[in-house]
Amino acid sequence: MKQEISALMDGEIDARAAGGLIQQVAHDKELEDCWAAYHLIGDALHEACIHRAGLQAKIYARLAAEPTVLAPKPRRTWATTRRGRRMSLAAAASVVAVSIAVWMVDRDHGSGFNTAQITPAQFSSPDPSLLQPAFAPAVAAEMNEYLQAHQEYSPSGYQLTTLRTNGAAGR
Amino acid sequence: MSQRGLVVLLLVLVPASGFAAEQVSRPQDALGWLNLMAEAPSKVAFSGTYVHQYGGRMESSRVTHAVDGTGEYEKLVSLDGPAREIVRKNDDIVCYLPDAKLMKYDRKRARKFFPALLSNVPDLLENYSPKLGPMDRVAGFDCQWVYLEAKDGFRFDHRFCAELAAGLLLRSMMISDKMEVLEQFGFTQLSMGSLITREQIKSDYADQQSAWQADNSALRDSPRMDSGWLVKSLPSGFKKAWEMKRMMSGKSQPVVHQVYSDGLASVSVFIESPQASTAAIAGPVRQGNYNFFFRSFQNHAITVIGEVPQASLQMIGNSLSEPMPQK
Amino acid sequence: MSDREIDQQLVERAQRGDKKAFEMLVAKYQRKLSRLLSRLIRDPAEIEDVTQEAFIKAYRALPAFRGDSAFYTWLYRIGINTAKNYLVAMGRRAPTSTEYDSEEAESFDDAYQLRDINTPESELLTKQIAQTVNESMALLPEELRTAITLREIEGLSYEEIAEIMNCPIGTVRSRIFRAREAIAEKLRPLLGTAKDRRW
Repeated sequence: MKQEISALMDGEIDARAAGGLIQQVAHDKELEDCWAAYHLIGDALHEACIHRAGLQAKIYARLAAEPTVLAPKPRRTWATTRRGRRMSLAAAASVVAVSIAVWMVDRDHGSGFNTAQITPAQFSSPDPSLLQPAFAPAVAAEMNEYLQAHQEYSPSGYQLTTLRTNGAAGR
Repeated sequence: MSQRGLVVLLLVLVPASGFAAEQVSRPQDALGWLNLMAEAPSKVAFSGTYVHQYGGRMESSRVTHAVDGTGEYEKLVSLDGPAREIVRKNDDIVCYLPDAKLMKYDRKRARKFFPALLSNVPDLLENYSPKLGPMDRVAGFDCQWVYLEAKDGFRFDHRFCAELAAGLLLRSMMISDKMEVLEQFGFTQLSMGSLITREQIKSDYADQQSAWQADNSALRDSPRMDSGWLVKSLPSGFKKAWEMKRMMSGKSQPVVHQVYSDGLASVSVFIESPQASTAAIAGPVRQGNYNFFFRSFQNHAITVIGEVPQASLQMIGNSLSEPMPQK
Repeated sequence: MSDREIDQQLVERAQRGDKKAFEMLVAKYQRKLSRLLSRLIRDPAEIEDVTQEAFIKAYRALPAFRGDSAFYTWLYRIGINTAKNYLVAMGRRAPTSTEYDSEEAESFDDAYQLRDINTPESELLTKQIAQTVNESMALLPEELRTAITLREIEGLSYEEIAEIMNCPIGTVRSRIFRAREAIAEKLRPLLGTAKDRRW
């Protein structure tokens, strides 16, 4: 394992394997110290060493206090195994839904997807308020209400479904 | 304006510019198409049926849309599930709920109605890169796909298909980073540019109004309020679009509801005093196609939800700061 | 994978919220950055403060880093600006010989002597480290010493080293690793155990 750290710092490791290795370093103190030690040796060999004891620890401590920065790059990865597609037609709630589902899925060739790749994730469950079994019904209902309140203002499209007939909710 | 005004106006339709005989030069690039799509609903009359898919649901609606010198008129009728209807003139809305014999008056505010999903195109360009896609055919009309690719991981990709002659949006999709279609709208039947009469825009329930209850509460609510809660780290491109206090079932106190948007995607933040039920969940949750994020903070329960990646919800949910105490 | 690609991976992980990945970048560059800043600032305690500031600034500015330049040039630029601002705030000016940018920073003479800047104690530690490393190097079996020298001092790739030493790449990898481990073992007592002092 430490040998891999050595190879990683020299860039002599496959790019994909590097990701997994970095992940391991993140969770293993000894590996992290190893990475630091090998770099210290490199710096010393370069006589680049201005070593202030504890500086690294101080920087780490300040980092820990910083709010975590998030600046994710967009990632587009095709999902590999999909149950959704087979369930989609079976799970559709009504005849109309089925026929339109077929229309929507089969027409995807124009949009640049081929039907084998796109899985309309929405078909995997006919009941939109169906939550993971771990949630108590009261919690599920509450989450649903947040969802409806959100959808009222979602610029992705107001739909008639967000109209609620009970006067208390929403106002 | 008078609440009765909606049903009294005369409507005459102006055929879509560029329709039939007139030749309109087609946009040369993705941006041109986006601009055309943004303008089309204010220029084009149409009626048709569209389907909206999201979160396991599919709903069909019938829409009739007219345009004249005084603005836009629209009628939306649900074809699935409980009967519902919306009649709109510009920003004024009346919702008809026949099962409850209830009419709700409201304003459109920040909400968008398909196919008018695009507005403020220049703002979108900060966060999305436009690209031309392939040609296609939807509801019998040839159309051009335009992709809006997310510039970062704080939002999802969108795709729009514009009818060739007037640029009316015929189909739209929101696609997750796992290439799943999270939500889509699409016409299954459409006719454009024909004359639309007043009758067609009127509610089917217009005659029964006197027997129904009218709910004006939405008009009376202060349209915008500022609770003082701030999000210190907003993902780039998101701005606060709305804020209100609302009552929700089972809660004795009003809940602060803030909405942040980048023009296409939105995130809602709910802030309330802790209730017994919300204490049970913490952290990120995915339900259907929506991401939720729950957190308690300084004796408040925070719920963040949106059709955006978890990263966006967490960044928002984790950087809330309380209002300064009032003097 | 080039050095730049390693850094890019670490940066992207940090941008997705992995603080440890940024820590690894700190471990890699903190001494180099300090050395760079020592051209601008003389007092070792101040160099330390500015180095810290620079890393925190870089962390906060991560969303703005798009990978157009190498991470270290971007870091060095932040470091230099932080140092200049610090000097201005202290009412001092940077030495005029240091009107340079980060590209120049990389070409600094590796043999630059720092003795007149270090405090006695950190100078002592630096000296001890250098001494330990040099001594350990001298004690290494010849093929391990050659391998690590070619890699660290000459900056050659494993493939190039394999050619020079006429052995398989796997052997190069193993030799360099064993050299590092041997030296690291002698260094660890000097730096305290992982428990009591994160050096």
